[in-house]
Amino acid sequence: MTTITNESVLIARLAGIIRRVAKLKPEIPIRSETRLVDDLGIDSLDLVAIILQIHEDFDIVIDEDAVQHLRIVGDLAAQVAERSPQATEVNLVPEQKRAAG
Amino acid sequence: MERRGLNFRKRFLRAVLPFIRTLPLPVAARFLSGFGRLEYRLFPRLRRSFRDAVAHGRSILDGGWDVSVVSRELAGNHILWRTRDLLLDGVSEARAREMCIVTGRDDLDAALGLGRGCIMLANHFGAHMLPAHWLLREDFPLRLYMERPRHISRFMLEHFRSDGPLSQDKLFVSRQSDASDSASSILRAARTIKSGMLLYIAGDVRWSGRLTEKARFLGQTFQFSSTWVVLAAMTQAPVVIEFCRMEPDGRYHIEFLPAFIVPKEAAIEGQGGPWVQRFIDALEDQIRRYPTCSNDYFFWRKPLVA
Repeated sequence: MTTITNESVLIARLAGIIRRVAKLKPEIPIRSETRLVDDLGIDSLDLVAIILQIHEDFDIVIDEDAVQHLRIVGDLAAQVAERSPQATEVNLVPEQKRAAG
Repeated sequence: MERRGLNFRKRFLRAVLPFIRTLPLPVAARFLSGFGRLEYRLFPRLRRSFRDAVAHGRSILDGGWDVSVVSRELAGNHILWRTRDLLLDGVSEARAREMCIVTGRDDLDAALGLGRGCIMLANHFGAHMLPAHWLLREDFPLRLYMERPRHISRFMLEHFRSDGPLSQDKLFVSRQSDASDSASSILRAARTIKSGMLLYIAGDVRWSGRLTEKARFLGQTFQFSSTWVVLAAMTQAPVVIEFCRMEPDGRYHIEFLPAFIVPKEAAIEGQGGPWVQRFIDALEDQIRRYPTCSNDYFFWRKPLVA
C-alpha cells in the first residue's frame, strides 16, 4: 500500500457522507466549491446529521461556532483537515491510487 | 386575539408594579388580574371575544365549565400571563418561595440525577415564564432555548449574562436563521444538554419546514416545532413536561410531570409525530382541567399548516 496526502480524497469521503445522509442521487456532482444549501438543498436537519457523522467517522469535534460559517463542501474539508491532519492522508491500494489520480 | 391597547397596558403595568409588589404577593396577583376582569366588564367587544373563544373551547373539550365565569377569569389571567415574571422582580427569596406551590420536584431531581442533562418541555399555558424564574432562583443549571424573551424581570436578564460557548446569549434562536445557523444552534443545544444542564424549550410553537410534526389540538391540526424531539432523541436526555397555573388564591402552581425518554429513532424524519402529539395531548388535558389559564389557545382559529 502507498500512503499519500490528497485533499481530493478527503472531499470524496465527505461527499460520500453528504450523499448518504442527505439521500442525494449519485449523479449530483459534489466538489470542493459545491454550495451546501444552494446546490445540494441541504437543510439544518441534514447538516446536523452530516456534522455528527463526520464527528464519528473522523473522531473529531467541529465546534458550533465553526458550523455557523459552513457554506461549501470545501469549508467542511478545511474544518476536518484542521482537526485531523491525518484525514488527508490515505492508505490506498494501487488501484485506488490510480483512480484518485 | 386582538391586542388592543397592548402598549398602553404594558406601560401602565410597569408603572403600577412597584407599588403593587409591596402588597402580599397573592393579593398583588389578584389585584393585577382585577384589571383584566375590569376590562372584561367595561368593553363589550372584548367580552364577546372571550366568551366566543371560551364557548368554542368548551364545545371542543366537552368541558363542563361556566362560560361566563371562565371568560371573566381568563380575561383577568391574561394580564398575569403578559406580566410574565415581573411580579417577582426584586422580591426576596422568602416572598418568592411563598408565592409558588411546586409539585413534582422529586421527578425533576430524579431526571437530573440520571446525569444526562434534561429537557424541560415548556409551553404558553398559565404563567408560562414562572417555571424558568423559579428554576433560576433554585440555582438549577438552566438555559432557555427560544427567542430572546422580552418584558421579563431584571433577575432573569442578569442570568442571561453568561460567558463561554454554552452561554445563554448563544442559545437564543431566531426565526431568520439560515441552515448553518440553525444547525449550529441545534448542536449547541445538544451539547448544553449533554453537559448536564436543563434546556428549557417550548413544545407548543407553531412552525413550518422540516423540523415540524402535525398534531391535533383543540379540534384542529397544527404544525408544531419538533426540535425538542430531535434533541431528546439525539441526547437521550430525560424530558420533563412542566405547567404553571394561576391558582384562585393568586399563587402560582408549578407542576413537573414524571420524565420520559424519547427513543433514538424518533429523530428520523416522520417518526417524531407521536411524541409531539403526546405533549400536545398533555397540554390539552391541562387546558380542559384549568381553562382559566388557557391564555390564547382558544383564540387559535387558523391552523398554520405548511
